[in-house]
Amino acid sequence: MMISCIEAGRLLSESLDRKLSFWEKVKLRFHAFICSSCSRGGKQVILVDEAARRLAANPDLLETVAGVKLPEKYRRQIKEALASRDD
Amino acid sequence: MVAEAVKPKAEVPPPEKWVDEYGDYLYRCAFVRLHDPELAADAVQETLLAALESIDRLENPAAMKSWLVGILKHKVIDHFRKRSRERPVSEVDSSDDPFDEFFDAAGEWKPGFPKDWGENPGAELEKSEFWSTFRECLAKLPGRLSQAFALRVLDDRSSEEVYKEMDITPTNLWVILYRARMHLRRCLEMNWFTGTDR
Repeated sequence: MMISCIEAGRLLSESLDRKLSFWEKVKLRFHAFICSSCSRGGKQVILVDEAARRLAANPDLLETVAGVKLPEKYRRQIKEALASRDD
Repeated sequence: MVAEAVKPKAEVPPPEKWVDEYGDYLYRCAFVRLHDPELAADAVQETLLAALESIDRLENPAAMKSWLVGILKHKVIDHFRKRSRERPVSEVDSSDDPFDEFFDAAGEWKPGFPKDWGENPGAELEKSEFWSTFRECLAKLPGRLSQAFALRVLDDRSSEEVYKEMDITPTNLWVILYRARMHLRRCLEMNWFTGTDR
């Protein structure tokens, strides 16, 4: 029944990638209930995952502040490559 | 019906406009997965050249952008495959381990960790500067962790697809993803949320 924080974190992470068994869920919930650090850390890990999914769905989030855009030299290069193939 | 089949073709911009129309968007998609300007630009070029060859197969011109993103994701996977052949990544390597700093020998959080991210950390995702930090944290993930995270979380492929693609066991994949998430958690804590520690 008792698992360490590392194991609890692993189960929490795995719950984002696969269906946990009934007992794994019980162990994870019980641990999070008695361990405020894991409860907090778990929420943070879920937030990290959510942020990544949000960025994947909307890569233009990088436009405003990070100014990520196709650099000019590659822009020209790709235009030329397209032009030479498109006939 | 017949008229519809003829008309939508006109909605696809001519290839000479593709770079201006889709270049930045595709580059951002590639950049969050590859973290390198040259690699990302290569992926964009390969994507647009492949699109040129198979544009006749695009059934719905209104979906041009998502069609291109689909091609791009395959180009990114091709790159991962090439990199894995050059530098096999099947072993789980403990140097990727972000745990010692936070956990004691018994596997419990050390005192003071994890830090408090404030009342409503989710609201930070609404701030545009957050994404600059988040992208930098993604870029710092070690290679295999970065690859697994890109395929599983950014591309939203199933675990099964990802462990088969990476030729590792499911357990290995889950360990790698756990490490990737813990790396990102730590990176955000140090570079974004430290100011909110109270």
